[in-house]
Amino acid sequence: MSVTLNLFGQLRHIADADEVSIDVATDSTLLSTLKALAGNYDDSFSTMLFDESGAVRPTMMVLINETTIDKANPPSIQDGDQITLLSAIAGG
Amino acid sequence: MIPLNDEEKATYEWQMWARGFGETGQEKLKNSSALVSRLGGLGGPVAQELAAAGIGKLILAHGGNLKHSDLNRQILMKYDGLGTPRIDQAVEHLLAINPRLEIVAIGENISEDNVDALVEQADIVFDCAPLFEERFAMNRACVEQRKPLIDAAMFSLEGQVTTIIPGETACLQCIYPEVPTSWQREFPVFGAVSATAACIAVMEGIKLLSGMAEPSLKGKMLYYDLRGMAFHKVNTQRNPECPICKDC
Repeated sequence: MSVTLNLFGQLRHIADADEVSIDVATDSTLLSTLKALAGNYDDSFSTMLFDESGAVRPTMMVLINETTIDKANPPSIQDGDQITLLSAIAGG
Repeated sequence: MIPLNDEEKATYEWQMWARGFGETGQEKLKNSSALVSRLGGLGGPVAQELAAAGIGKLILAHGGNLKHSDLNRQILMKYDGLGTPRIDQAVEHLLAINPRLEIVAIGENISEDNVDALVEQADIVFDCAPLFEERFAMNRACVEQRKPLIDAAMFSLEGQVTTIIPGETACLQCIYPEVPTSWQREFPVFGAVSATAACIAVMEGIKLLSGMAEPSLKGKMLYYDLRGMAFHKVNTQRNPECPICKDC
């Protein structure tokens, strides 16, 4: 199945893309989907997205189909989902 | 409440025509105070728009001298001021727009040492700092003093704004539980992107201070992308275990 990831902040900067579509297995979780995404880029992308334990950083806001999700209890991933990753920013 | 004088009625006539604002809203704004930290690409236009709109008092905090790399966005500054304190240029610029404005100017940035006393002087706080440590200090002080905090930020062609009401909405540390280790002090920035966030933040503040309307970003985060001219709003979530606001 295919999911689309919308990238904001530093993730967008590293990926040099606003939006990325990837194909993932039908039983994919949020974490496995994000790991698959990160595999397309250099280590700085993973460092930005995941903490030392491999979990999504607490400072990263994750939305699925424009709804903020609880990263500790993410919903299952469906074909056609739009996943948005908002990295913390503080520029002025 | 100090009433508007004739000069103020003439100055603000056109904005007093806005629905729900009127002379009552203008009078409330005149009798209000705001803390703005800092006065760069974001805080500069925040302070400028508040001054132009007729707020009564600004508390301003910004350290350091003007550099060339500030001039693409810091609209309170001028070329002739290179090498001189930014806070002095900001005060001069703001008083040139509105000589009735009362200003408390601090030539240093927000820290845990000065934040409580600065927030205490303000009815509302505009968080425009480039470091999360400063943002968290203002957030903590606002929660403790039950003051509204408008948090605005940008990166590259993107920006975001949220209105935090302690006890009602998520606080900044509910949204970001820790200082993001990835954030770097230097970042890509266009002045127009910063100023967009600034103007949105100011309208949230004016709505709150004047009572003209409910702030649209209370408990919500607006994020925008000026590359694709896309604007989105999402709900922010309170964290019941937040060490800053769980008892608020």
